[in-house]
Amino acid sequence: MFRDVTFTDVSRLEAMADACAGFVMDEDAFRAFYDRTARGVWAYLARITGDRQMADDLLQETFYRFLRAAATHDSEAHRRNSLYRIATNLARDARRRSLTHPFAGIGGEIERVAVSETAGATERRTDFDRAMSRLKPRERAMLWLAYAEGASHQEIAGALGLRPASMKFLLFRARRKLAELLGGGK
Amino acid sequence: MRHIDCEFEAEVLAAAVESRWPDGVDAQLRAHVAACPICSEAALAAGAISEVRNEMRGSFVVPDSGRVWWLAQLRARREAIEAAGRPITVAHLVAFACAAGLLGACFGATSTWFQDALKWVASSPIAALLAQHVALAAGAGAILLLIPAAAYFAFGRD
Repeated sequence: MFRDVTFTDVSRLEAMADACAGFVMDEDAFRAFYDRTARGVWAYLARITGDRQMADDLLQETFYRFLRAAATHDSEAHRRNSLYRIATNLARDARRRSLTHPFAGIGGEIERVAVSETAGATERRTDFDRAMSRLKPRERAMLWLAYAEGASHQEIAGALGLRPASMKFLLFRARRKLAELLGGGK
Repeated sequence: MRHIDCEFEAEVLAAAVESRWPDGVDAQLRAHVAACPICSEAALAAGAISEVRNEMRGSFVVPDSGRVWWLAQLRARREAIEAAGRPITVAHLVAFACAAGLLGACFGATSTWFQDALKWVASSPIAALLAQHVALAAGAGAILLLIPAAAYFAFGRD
């Protein structure tokens, strides 16, 4: 009797776990979506956190939470918005947890990979990293989404949890600040 | 009121993001950008970001999608098992508490020295004092329990 109860409990537990662990997306759909978006999300995370290692960790977590959210999306854009919103929230939480970790810039690490680049390009990127480090995290995020990911105001607002109506002005202000930091503001 | 947009801004941004700025656009647009602060800022900021994005391409490798899927499955399953097993853990704790209570009651009912000790405590001045200040004693006991719990919820959790 004892053995029967134990087996029943274990199998019931496993059946419940299987049911709960199911994702809305199947493997093929997930892998296609991941292949389309992972590099962009990684670059975004690396830019707003300034830490490649953290970007690696947060990338996995972002996609896991996206799968676990089990939300239905009516379009690819909507799905991407959700993904970037999760990434933004995770990066913000990570930053709160480790306030001792200032934005260090990730250019130096990339430099070691790109051996053939010119000194001028290196200097430009150092300036860029320095300028980005002086922006607020939210400004970094919105600029990167707008000009590296080509996101619309609506999409940026969705990803950052801001009002779409204020995006134009916020983006303008962030862009002006970056231009001034890069030495080209008028 | 300050202007924050220009009719050529979208064109300038498109050129910067597509790495066509400044050589891939016509001279007229370049002349406009030179004179327009909004467009010159747009070209500078968007051009710099676009350049860095292009340099970053190929400089990093993301984990394979199959591996990410597999790890997500494992983790989801583990979390689901933990969640499904939580009521059982609670039932175990309740059963343990009931058994301990029952054992204590049996011990108290059968042990003569325990009953003598209880009588001694009941007749002691401390017990009389506590009986006179039941509310105070209950409050102090509650605080002793509540303070560690409050400290845990305030500082103990990430």
